[in-house]
Amino acid sequence: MNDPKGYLALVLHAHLPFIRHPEHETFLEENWLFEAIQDTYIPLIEVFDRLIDDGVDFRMTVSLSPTLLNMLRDELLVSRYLKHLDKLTTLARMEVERTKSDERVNKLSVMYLERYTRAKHVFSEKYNNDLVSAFKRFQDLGKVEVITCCATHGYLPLMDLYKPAIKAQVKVAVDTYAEMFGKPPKGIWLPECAYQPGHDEILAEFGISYFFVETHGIMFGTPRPRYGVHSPYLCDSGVAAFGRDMESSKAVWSSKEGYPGDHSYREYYRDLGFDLDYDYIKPFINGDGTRINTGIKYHRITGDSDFKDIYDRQAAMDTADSHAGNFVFNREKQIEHLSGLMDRKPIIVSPYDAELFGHWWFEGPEWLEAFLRKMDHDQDTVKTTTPGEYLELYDKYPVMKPSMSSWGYKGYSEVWLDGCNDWIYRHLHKIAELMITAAREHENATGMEKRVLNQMARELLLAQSSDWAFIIKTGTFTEYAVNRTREHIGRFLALHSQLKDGNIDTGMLEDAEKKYNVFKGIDYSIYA
Amino acid sequence: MGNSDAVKDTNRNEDAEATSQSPEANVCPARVFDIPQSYGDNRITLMVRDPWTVYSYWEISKDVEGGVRGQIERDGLTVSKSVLRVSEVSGEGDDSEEKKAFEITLKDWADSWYLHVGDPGKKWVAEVGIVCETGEFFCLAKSNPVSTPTNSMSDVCDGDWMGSDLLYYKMLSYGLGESSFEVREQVDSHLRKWLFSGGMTSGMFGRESLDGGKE
Repeated sequence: MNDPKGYLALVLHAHLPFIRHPEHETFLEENWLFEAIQDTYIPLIEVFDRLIDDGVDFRMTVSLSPTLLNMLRDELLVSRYLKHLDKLTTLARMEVERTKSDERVNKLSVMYLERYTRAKHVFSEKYNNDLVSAFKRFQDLGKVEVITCCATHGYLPLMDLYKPAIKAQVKVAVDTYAEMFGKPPKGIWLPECAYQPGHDEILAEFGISYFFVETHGIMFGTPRPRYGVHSPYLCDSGVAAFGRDMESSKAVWSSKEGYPGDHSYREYYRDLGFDLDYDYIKPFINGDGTRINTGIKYHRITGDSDFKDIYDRQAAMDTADSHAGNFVFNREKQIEHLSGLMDRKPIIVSPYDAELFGHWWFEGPEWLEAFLRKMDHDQDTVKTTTPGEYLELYDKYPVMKPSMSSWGYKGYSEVWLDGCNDWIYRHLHKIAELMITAAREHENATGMEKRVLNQMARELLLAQSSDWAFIIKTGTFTEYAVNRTREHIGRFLALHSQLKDGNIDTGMLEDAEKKYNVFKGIDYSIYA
Repeated sequence: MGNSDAVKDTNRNEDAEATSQSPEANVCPARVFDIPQSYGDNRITLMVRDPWTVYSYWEISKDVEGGVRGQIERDGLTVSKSVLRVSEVSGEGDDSEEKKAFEITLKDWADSWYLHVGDPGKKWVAEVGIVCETGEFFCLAKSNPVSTPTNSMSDVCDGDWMGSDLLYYKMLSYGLGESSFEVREQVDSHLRKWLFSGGMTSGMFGRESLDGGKE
């Protein structure tokens, strides 16, 4: 490619809370991981593999949260995913048989069977049951910049009073990343894109070079941003803040105005788990007989009415290709517009939840592949980059103090601090305070005391997952989110009390260590 | 997943056909932990929700309240009501000043409140206290100060990175049509619409769960 006029940084944020229930043979919420692997992570890995095989020059940024990394490397969850995949494969085989008299549907059954067979190959044979190694490969090849996220996706502005708790969220993330990728992360995705002025100093302490903020984090920053969101800005700490671009984000994210709502794309809400005869589908739905999504869906969005036509894969692929072309065209125009007004090369930063691609927007991975191919082959105006690469372009970047912001509804903390979920904070704050005090009082703990303190640190981190407050707010799976919050707070308090009284319940500690085996190398002294 | 109504009350999935043991089936089933209603503390905490709203929660120890009420009695005063007093803080450090902004009368059971402070970009502090019939205020607990974010573009410019206003607004007006003298308002309005469009956070938990699919 000739010298481009500007750059585009696509950022995919992949995250799931730590959900692992060895005490049950199967557990509904573990399916979130299996579905994300099946629908999103494997398809994205296949896209990157194909692009690399074909010599396409591309750059992407992917954040993999520490809880997700731990789950992707967990033996029990890996074995359960493989069982899940076997079950899906069985269902797809039955479907190929059942639908053979209907050519249109049968083609789709075959498509699903092929997908599941390919997934098994990618997961087990190509990457040896370790998807983290796939992302490491892409990073080592210089195509994907993998960055981190806070340890358990804690919402940092709402723990601002307890700086050691914020430090722990960052340090555990950096340590987890270094363990998995063999080097420290350049950048971090702040959970929910939530920034509080001053938190960049903590990022600097742990060697992080950049983070992202929502558009108004930059636009309402001080001083006024000379380049809008089209340049990074250095905070006083020296850490760079990249602002989200509204236009490109909306085109992909919005299900109404954006590409994913196109009528030819696959309809998410029509699934065999709900459509088929109960006795036939029963072995493939929830163990208690409740109908759930299986992942096999035969309809397209069609329109706003309840009528849904049969999905036409080729038509959907044509649309994805056309949407990819449109996205390239619009970014070219955007960069041409910006480069005429800036005395340096503009950057467009477009972050999305990774799970949008493939899980919610079935054709998302193919759209991404087509887009990256067109960017490389069809034009010279815009080049894909990563924030890390862009920061090497110039000697100087403008300085500013970004404004508090998040990418949640209304742009601040309302989603996570609302009448339905605000009760959690007095407890989260209290256990953070107790953790800090305990770490300071037990400076060089050893043996059982050390194990208790380390488990207390895990319980605190797990209780702080922003997912629980988010789920409570959305009103779905509320019981699970409330139970998890209560469980971690309650166990923390019990362990703290045992530590204080010198009366440690070994059985309870061992149970907790087995069940929540995340962050095995954690060191409680980070809270001191 | 996704069709959450169908599964929201079924955390546990007892698979009737499963006969093999889980690799770690010796882990005890989840136990129920009690969490306390209160911790015996005496404190009030403020948290920023957005430029216009601050959340407060508090816990007042009986000892502290008893001591203050005793003092009021010894001073020959009569308790009128419990209040949450909100003050705006100006200045920094030793030069900081607090100016009472408003007071909320508390019912006995209240232990949290959303304070609609209104003005973005200000610093606030709150106290739970007792007001006497003659107006004296006795503080039971005073909060940490918090600063709400601004909600508009800064007028402060960096001398090293100055551009003309026209250039600046033209750059921001991409996608908004031709720039005009009203473009700042357009940019602000566009940004607000974007922020209120909702559902930007989703992951695996539902893309439109917060806005009902409306944009």
